[in-house]
Amino acid sequence: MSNKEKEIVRKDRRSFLSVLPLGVLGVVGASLTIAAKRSLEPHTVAAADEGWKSLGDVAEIAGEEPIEKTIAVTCRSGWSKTVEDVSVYVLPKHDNKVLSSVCPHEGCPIVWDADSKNFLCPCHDSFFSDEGQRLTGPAAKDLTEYETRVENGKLQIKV
Amino acid sequence: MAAELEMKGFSLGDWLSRETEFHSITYRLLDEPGSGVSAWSRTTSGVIALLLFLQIATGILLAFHYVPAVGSAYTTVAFIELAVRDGAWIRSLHYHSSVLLPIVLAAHLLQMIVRKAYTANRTAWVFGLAMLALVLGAGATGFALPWDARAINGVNIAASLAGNTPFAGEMLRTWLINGATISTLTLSRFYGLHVWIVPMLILLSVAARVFIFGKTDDGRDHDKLSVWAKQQFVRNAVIVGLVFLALSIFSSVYPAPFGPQLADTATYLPRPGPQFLWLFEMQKYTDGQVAAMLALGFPALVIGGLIALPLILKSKGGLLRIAISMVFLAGFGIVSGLTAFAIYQDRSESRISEQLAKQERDEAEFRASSFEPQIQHVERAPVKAEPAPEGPDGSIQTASSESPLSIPSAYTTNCTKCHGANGEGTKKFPELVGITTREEDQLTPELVLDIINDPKSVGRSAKMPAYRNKLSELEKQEIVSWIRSLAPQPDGGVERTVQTARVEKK
Repeated sequence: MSNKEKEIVRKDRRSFLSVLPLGVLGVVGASLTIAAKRSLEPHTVAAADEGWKSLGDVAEIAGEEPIEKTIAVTCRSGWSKTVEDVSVYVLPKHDNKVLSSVCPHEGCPIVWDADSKNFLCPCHDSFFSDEGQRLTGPAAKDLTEYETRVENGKLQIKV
Repeated sequence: MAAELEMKGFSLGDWLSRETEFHSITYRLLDEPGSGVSAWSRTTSGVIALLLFLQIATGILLAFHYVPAVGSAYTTVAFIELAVRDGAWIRSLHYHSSVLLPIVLAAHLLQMIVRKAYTANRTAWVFGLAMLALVLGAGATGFALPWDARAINGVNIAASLAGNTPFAGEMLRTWLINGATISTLTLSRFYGLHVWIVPMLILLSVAARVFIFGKTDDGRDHDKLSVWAKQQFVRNAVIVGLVFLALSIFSSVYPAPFGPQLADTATYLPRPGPQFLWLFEMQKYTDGQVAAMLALGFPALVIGGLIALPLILKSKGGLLRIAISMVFLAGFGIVSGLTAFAIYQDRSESRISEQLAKQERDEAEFRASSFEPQIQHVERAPVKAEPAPEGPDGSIQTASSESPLSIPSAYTTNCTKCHGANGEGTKKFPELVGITTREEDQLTPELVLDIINDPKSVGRSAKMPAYRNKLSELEKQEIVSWIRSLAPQPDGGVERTVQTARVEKK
């Protein structure tokens, strides 16, 4: 073999050898990337307690104004289990209809404006009638209505 | 231009390595040429780089789940162990590479002593020793984070060692535990040290070693050197690959230790990681200032001595070699001797070995169980005059307006023995009436709940057992509300009492 050929062989061997370290780096990197992807997958479990929730004695629900009520909803997410107080509006004026207090636009909690007799969202000024119909503002839909029933004199909604 | 590239054999790898300064890192891992066995023995730097990388990578992945507070640390680590996919493996890799690091660093220093590299490449020598101190620091601070029985005992010991340090003891202790007693603030402190300070120092040291002190204008034949360097890089890669493979398999078989919550620890024997068994053994024979000075002074003396000797005995080659070898061997000998003796004692005394075996079975049982989330918190509803709604699962309870509330049945069955039928206390145990209002106590409902869960976790009486797992959350809340109702509230109102008590549950 001439010197030049020797040189070429050595170069080939060298470039092969430099692939090996890269391969090792690749294996270490890939193992950890896979573990990272798997371990960071979110752990979500939808609202743990679905079903009928009581809002109190139907006999006591009366008046002109919507009444804000709170129900405790347990949510499980990963290592934590939270009991959240979800508030809803009962409308005694409209056949005890129950409205969600979440604005259909971008999820802010709506408030009752006693002066204008409207629901209003403080985030982007969406207005809803006292029955939950969209009046003005960026919200495209009416306020969400809950399914209701009366059991043993208690008003209940389905969560 | 194209012809030139062709002639030089343009390679993407070479180009990347030049542009990213990667070649200087690999170059730094190699030092000077050699061959055969001596070259293979010098792959310790590659293994150190791998282990440091693993520490950081797995540490980041753990940080995505871990929450450093007394009420959530244990739960989130249990969650990592039981529910996160590959979580146990990631935590195990983190743990085992932290045990392995000091050992590999010792091997690294040993091969440098054999090659007399402590004078030829002083930066590398000091760097190796500083790294040893830093990884021990990382281990000592990370130990506290799971807040299990091992961790809390470890924090107790660390606090007492800090407190017994001559002159600055009290100051050091208060700083370390972040207050007068061990609390959730202590955990924040260990977290800050373990997750920010120590890794930052490690990264800064590595950067300094590679980029600032890494220049080699030694007049060697760089062509030869680069052939050798490439071969040495391959040797490093082979060893790194093997170590990673072994560590991966080992970590999937042997999970990182995880003790019980302090609540169930009457008989639990806490043991540190293998890299700290020497310290553990030392504590068995020392007390007070001597214990503190030995614990901190011994590693400081060995590491500091090894750094200082090449400077002190600059011109005396032979003497320096003897002195360095003596200090290293003495340090290494004492550490391995104490470690071996600690293991021997644990195995030979049947009372201890049986309990340790039981702990292993308990841990295996824990790992076989499924994760139970704890109620983390309850968002408070605005307190309203209207009647509160009721629901099947602990929706808001309306408290009667007459105070005090009726005695909860859970109180009657669990607490009357010591605290009296009506919270009036007994001879040896405190009364509960007024603990939430009296000037000297003024316990918040959160603190009362913490005490019921585990008095030790908030630095209270060790005589009262922990009720974390013995009472349901609702029972605990009833007891808290009842205790508050025993004395008039400054903000007057039992309704408020119930609300506030329900707010807090981690």
